[in-house]
Amino acid sequence: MSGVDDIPGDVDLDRVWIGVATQVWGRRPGPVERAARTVLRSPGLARALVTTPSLLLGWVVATAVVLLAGMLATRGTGTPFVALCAPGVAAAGIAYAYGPGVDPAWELSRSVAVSDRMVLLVRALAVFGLNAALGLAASAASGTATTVTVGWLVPMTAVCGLALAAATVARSANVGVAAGLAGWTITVLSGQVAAGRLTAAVTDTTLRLPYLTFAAGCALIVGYATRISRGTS
Amino acid sequence: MDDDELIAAVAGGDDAALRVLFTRHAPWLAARLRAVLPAADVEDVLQETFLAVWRGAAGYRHDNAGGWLWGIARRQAALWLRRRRNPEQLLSALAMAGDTEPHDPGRDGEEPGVPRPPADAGRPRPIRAAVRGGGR
Amino acid sequence: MNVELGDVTRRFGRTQAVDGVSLEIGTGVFGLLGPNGAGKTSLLRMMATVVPPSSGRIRLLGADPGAYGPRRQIRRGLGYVPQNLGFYPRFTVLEFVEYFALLKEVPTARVPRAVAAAVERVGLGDKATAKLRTLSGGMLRRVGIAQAIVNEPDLLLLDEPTAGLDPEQRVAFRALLRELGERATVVVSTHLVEDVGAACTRVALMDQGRIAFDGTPDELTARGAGTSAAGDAPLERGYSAVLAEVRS
Repeated sequence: MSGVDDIPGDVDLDRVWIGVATQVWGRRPGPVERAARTVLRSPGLARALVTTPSLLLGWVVATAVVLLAGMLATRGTGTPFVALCAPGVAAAGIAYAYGPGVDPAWELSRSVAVSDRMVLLVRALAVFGLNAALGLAASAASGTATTVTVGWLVPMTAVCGLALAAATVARSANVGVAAGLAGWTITVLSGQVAAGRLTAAVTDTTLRLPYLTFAAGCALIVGYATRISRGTS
Repeated sequence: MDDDELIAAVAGGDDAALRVLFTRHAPWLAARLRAVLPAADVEDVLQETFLAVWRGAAGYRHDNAGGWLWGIARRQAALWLRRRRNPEQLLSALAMAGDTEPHDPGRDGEEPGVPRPPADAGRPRPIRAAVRGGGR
Repeated sequence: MNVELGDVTRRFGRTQAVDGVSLEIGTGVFGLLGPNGAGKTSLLRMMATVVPPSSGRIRLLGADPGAYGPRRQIRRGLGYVPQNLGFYPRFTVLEFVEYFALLKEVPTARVPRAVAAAVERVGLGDKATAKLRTLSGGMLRRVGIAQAIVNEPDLLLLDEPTAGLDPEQRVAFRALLRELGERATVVVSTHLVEDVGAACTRVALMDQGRIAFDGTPDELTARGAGTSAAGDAPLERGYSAVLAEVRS
């Protein structure tokens, strides 16, 4: 090629292009990611947080729609549907937050400096917080009694714990969603059978300690399942 | 794609088109700049030139891409040297920038000391040949 | 020594995947040869700090991967391409490589340049902003390599990296390996003998969880000389001869 001979030997065009590409390709983090960097003190964790599948816009909108429908049904029928469906929706979001069933590059994610457990913790807490906030808003707007409004937060913790544990152990987000929904449905129906009210699972304050104990147990299972010595192949 | 199409694509935000434009034109631009600037400065000016191309491709009017690019490179060289306040180089840069005649890369080879743009400037040269090949 | 293994074993259930391996590996390209199921992947996963050994000692980059702090330090200097690296289909090449640069804690100010350099280094500059789901298998392999080298690792682990690459890409890839091996420890597991001859400064042959041979490619070739071992090339005959020897 005649053109190559003309390039001055002491000018490194590869380096020049990398300089151009650095600017052209560089991504500017959005306001949420910048805030997360400040709070979490880790750009890696912040990036992992804003790429959570169940925190993407579509998912959040779907969650809001379900809760909105629940709110309208609650106002129409008097049955606290928001309180009944919020834990299930949150469980699905948690199961799709992170883990071997969600992350196709899970094996690689386990070899990086930002630990997979930290990513899991941050993502699960963020999904939980967002669902709790949306659920509270929907609950308040539907005008149910305060005990019901706040009462579902505790069972929601337990259902989310179950979904996360199942998703992590089974290495499948769908298994987690199924476990969370099934567990919650059974709990609600048992409340109906035992107390004659669908809302028993939400309003019965004596259930709070068992719920929280169950959630703590699930957290331990998740911790055990993500320990470094886990390997199956 | 010819240069006009490439510059239009760059104006539309196509980074791959900028890359092709770079592989096609950076070599002769570097050679010309090197005739009046030290190597390190050539790299900086060339980088600024293509960043200016990236930002300003929408301002390109369809005539003589080589002359347009050289015009940008000259302006960037003058800016660079003014920022560096290097009077000696500033003189030669001013001489360079003072020449307002748009350069046609096809004719400039006649000037002594200024290398001819490659005859195959239309053929992209790979920037890096580390791992590449099939499937592109 | 960047990798020090002392009598390392690894069991998965009833399977003894790695059965007493001792190795010391410094800079250069180290080829890990062996048939499928020989334990190469398990050994690599232990070097990648993904699984700990069932018994034995491991030191990586001079630190103990069993403790949290040192492990994190090791991981900053680690590059790993698993055999089946999953991808995020909606990410672009740049987003994927940047994601792992951040998770490997490359200093934020250096990330954009490191990402651009890694993407160019594997020859994907013209696909930088393409979504991963639009790329071919060979290109995805190169994306995997780009994320592995984005932090300029001192220890680079590649599990069957040439699978899915066509011959031309394979040649270019070996050149990249040699280049990387000049300053880092590169461990390449492969069942393709020709990869080793072309790129490796040292080769170990693994069979049934043990190291059956450890030496230079030339030494492995010599083991096949004058034998009736199967193989189209001298190195292949050496490989077959060693395998036949340990299995007899």
